[in-house]
Amino acid sequence: MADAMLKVRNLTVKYGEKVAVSGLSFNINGGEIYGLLGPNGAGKTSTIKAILGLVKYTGEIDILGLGPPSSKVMNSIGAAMETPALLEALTPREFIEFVGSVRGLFDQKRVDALIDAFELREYMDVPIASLSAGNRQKVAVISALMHRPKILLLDEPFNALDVKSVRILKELILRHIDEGGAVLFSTHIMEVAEKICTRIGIISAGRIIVEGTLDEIEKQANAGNLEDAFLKTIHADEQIKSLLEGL
Amino acid sequence: MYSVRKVASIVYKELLFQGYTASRLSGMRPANARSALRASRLNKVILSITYSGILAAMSIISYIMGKPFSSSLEAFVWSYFMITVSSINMSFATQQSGYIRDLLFMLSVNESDFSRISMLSFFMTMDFPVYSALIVTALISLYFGGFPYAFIGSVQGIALGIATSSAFVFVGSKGASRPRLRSIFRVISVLPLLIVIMFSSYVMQISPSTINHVFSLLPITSTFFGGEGVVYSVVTVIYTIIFIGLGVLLFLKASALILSTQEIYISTRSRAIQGFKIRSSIGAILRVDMIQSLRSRIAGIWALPLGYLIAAIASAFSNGSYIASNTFMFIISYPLNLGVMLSFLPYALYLSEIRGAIAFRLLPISPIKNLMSKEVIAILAYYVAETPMMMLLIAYRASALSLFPLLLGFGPLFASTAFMAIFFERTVKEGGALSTLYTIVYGIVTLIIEAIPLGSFIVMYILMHSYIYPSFVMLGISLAEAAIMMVPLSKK
Repeated sequence: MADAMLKVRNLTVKYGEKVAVSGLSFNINGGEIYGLLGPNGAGKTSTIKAILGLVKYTGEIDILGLGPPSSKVMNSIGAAMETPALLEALTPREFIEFVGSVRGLFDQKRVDALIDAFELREYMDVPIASLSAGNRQKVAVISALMHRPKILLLDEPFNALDVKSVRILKELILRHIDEGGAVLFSTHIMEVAEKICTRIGIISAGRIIVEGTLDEIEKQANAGNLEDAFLKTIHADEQIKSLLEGL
Repeated sequence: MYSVRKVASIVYKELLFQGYTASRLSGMRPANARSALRASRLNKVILSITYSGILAAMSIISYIMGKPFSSSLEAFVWSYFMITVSSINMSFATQQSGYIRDLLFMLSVNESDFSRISMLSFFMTMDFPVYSALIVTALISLYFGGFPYAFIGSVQGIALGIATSSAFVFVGSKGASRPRLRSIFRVISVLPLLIVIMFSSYVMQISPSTINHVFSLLPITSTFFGGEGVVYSVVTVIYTIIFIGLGVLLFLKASALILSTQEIYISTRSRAIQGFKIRSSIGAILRVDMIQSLRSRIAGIWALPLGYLIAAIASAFSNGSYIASNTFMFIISYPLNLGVMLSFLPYALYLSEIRGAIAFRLLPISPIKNLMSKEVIAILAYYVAETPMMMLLIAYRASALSLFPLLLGFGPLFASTAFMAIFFERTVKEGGALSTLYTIVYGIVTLIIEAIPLGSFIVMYILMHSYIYPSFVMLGISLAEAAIMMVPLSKK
């Protein structure tokens, strides 16, 4: 896999004694959407944070053949975190100006188109701290997409977004891979993963337990859809049945 | 049936927790809510005991030294400080307390009890400091007899402290609709305290007979003259009554806001399509730092140079010959001291970044590039603050060579800013919060970094009686320190 845009080998993330990610390995090639699925606390966010260099880790991460995460590769990455990484004292306009200035990559036409697509225009001069969760997420998504990065790292990117914005974001992700980009995205919404992921890794307790295309995963779990396959894979299907009986 | 007092104490706890969380410079929620709450409540008690002790000690020293009038200023400063520090978090809590009202409403708490609940819960944030300051100063005034300088000073400090905290609640409750008003208020609100604190170090050197009598008509300083005659006493009492009235009025207004329906910000400004202004990378970081610092609770730090300047001018005004006859002491007391104090500025800028640290990390900003923007702000602030000091030296005909330490005195600030960058990187890596021990060590190291060049300047001046060479040595040592700090930063 010499042409992989993102390579992760034996990634381990620890918070004190707690092991959040344990020996994770995967590659993502250009034109691929890799979905990281897992229950809460499985290690999805920690994996993305490690790839961004936001937490201490051991193992190897190679981004676009340029080595581990550093300020040098950040212009090639667009990231939207589960809790939007924004500067709350700023307005969306000030934040987008800041991001564009620091990156030295600013396409006014694209930014305007993104603002209109996500219907953020009327909130451009309102402090981010005062925005709703959905509008904050839109600011984070716009700042992740505005510089046309090669790799998108999206941690639960559809959180709090309205139906229209979810559709637009899905289309933008698909367009991104059509142009040769790579996407790593984490979610626990199976329907979304089912529709857009080219490859899926199911993560539990910090380890990838199954990896493959949607068909491969469904076949392996002997399930008719991703949700059933996921629940079977993490051995939660029987547990749910017995829990529901007790209610 | 519920008890208003019990409900108020629960509301107080929730406000305390929200205020504590919102007031953390890192902006991050405490990992352990229970211990954070315990710490907040314990802080109030420790703060009351500590500052009452200082207040008592300073007031007693004033009486023993035969300068009872100066106890009024000591009592004022420490009482004011205690009240504002213990209740200021309330202003942060009110920015997000709307849900408490909704919850109480859903729990069938009578709306007519809301004002009593909010008044009681607000007062609970400052009850200990108020009681301890009043008891300590009343006892001191009774023991030493005569005009009750300490007690009057404390009453004035408490009244203005309550007024300031209430004003903070008022401005805080305005939510997002008045960001500029909030920024301006944050900056100017610390100004009176800064002036008084700086003036208090000078007050022991003076007496009502030697200082300008204009001070007898001014608020706060009029108390110096309270024991000098009936007219002066009346002026002091009038000011005290005005302060109490102001404190009570603002307290009532503020407490009404604590559990009021939150103002929802709906902008009515026309939404013309505006363009974006793209800047250089460092220029953009610099601008964001300025915006973040002015819109956060650290905004008051910008008033620091102004406070020092006013204190320096006040000391010159009351005793102008001091500057001309003792230029070296003046330089150490005001301009160089100001340079050290300004190191709070980059510290505050870095801390205001911690909350948005992830946003910074997702951008191509190296630690060195980030540091450069802080250095630019620090040096700009230094020269803006020092220029009037230089003018003061020139106006009082001090030697032209005495300007050298001021011109080159940015070095210690430059070096300590570089160390702050290391502290910041470490803090971010640790998730935004460092242990108390590490923070203390950081404080000590910062002091050492600044003390080495400043100490070298003082020692060399004493040995050489020259300003030029010691100033260059001070700068050289500082730049060497900064270069050492930058080595680990450049590797990140």
